Amino acid sequence: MRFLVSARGLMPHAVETQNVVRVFKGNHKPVKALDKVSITIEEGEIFGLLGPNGAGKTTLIKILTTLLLPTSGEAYVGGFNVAKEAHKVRQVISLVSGGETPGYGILSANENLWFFSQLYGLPSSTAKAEIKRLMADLEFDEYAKTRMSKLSTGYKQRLNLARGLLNNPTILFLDEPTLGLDVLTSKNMRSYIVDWAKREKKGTVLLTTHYMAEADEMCDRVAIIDRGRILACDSPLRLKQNLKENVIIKAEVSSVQADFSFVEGMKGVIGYSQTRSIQTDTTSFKVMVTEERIFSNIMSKLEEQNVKILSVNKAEPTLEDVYISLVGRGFEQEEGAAHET
Amino acid sequence: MAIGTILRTIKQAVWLGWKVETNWADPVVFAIYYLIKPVAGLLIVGFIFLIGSVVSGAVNPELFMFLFIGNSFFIYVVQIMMTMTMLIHEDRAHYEVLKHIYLTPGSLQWYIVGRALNGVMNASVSLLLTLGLGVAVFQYGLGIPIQIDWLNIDFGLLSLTLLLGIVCFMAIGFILCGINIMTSKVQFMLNEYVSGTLYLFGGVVFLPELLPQWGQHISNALPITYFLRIVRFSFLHQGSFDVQMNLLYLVATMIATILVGLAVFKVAMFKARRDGLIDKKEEY
Repeated sequence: MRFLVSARGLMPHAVETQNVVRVFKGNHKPVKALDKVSITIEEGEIFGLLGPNGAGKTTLIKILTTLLLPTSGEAYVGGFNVAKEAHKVRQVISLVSGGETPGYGILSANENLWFFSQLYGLPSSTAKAEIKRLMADLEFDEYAKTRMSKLSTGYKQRLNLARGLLNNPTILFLDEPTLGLDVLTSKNMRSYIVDWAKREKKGTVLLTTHYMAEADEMCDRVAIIDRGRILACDSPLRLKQNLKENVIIKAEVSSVQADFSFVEGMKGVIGYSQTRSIQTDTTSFKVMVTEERIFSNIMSKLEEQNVKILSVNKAEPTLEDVYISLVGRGFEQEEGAAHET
Repeated sequence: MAIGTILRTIKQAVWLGWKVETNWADPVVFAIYYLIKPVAGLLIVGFIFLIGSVVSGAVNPELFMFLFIGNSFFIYVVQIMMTMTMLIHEDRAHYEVLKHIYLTPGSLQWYIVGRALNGVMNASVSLLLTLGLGVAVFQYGLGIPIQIDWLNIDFGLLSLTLLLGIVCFMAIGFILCGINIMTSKVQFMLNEYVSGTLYLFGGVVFLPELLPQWGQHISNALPITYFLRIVRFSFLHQGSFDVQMNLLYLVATMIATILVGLAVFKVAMFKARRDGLIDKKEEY
């Protein structure tokens, strides 16, 4: 067991990784999914891992939850080494993944929870009470006897979260927990998790997401990960404050054909992102520049493309802007690039 | 790990296995299937014996008893192999819960044991149906004498042999689980290959002594060979049979099978963690 000497005495970090590297065999060449990842998460913290698809978020969660071994480096969860003391790690963690089946489709919601409560070793009376409480808290007790396969995506995810909380974990790993959920269900899910962490006091959450607002709303600290590397790690507020000296401008232009790639390499441009909407035949563009006057150069170049500028606004920095400032591109381009490789 | 958690895990796995087995049909259809399946297997053997008897012009009731008991008890191999071959594939690819089971303190090994015990329960019901309906069909329907003194069966020896045999077959099942964790390409035929090999070399339908020399060596290394010999003896009490020696061989092959089974499973789990196979998604 690994301890940290802190003001609170001798205690382990909830999660600690040291130079964790993970290499997968690729079809043509090895793929480095994690590149010397070092993070620490304290007890009671809600920690976000923010990055586009393929950034390495799920790989790190798999290593921390003992599903995958690191190629090199060391990782500790609850003070236990994930490679050598996996069985001890499993006593204190739980994993909830978004967009996955939460249990056996042939069993009812109640039966699924009962099944896992027994594998967690809960005594019958405790298990029954916990199942009842979780189903009521997560508002799906009316579907207790419904087969899991008949539940909607939102209720399946509630069941998934209930399963994850059944063993009263001290460290909860959430891998894209609101993936594919509607706005209201996502909001409820987020507030429930935040309440849970507060209620448990020492309840630690490691959340992976590619939703900026989710990380911003929930997390005490956020690590931004891209292509297996941690690019920045701080509180959402401080990460955004670091951008205060820059200017962020959002624009919407007619035509889905508009191409903003010409800004790459322009002097004074830190980064940009663009989102195309085929339905409205428009392109939204966000650029981060060192000075406002640089944007007028961009506008001139745009006019040469014969596109109509529908709106231009200055914007406050968001976590996406933090990502843009670090990578030079938005999530959408990054994910597009990942798919192309 | 706490004994209580292990027992709870096994109990739930047995219950889940029953749910998985029965979920595809309504109760009446399932009951018919449950009844017909073992009897159909036995009828094939029975009719092969009848045709053989007609061709040779002589009925050999002792040979029939050899076939009858061998095939009846082979159901344990079939059920345990089938359950343990398919459960990794089902839980990982179909139900997508293998990783959550793996992450529980109850542990995957004890869950697999529970699922295998469900196979044992199914096999036991099939065995009783086969013995009961076999007597009705062959003795009273077709006039083939069933030479079993039902009151004189050595139930102590039979129970001990069943226990040892079941442990052996489960250990072989762990080898199959290990292989299926590492690859998702063989789960549909692996059961057939292994059961077929045990059927051919294990003395189910003919004496291992009738095999060529190399086949006899294989037969001698298989626990099923000694399992079936002792089971037959506990029913038929053949005179010159050395029970103790056969029990010793059964225990020896059981220990060897357990060691190999656990080693293969442990290596497979390590490779699965190393290569990220525990939650591997499959596309069809």
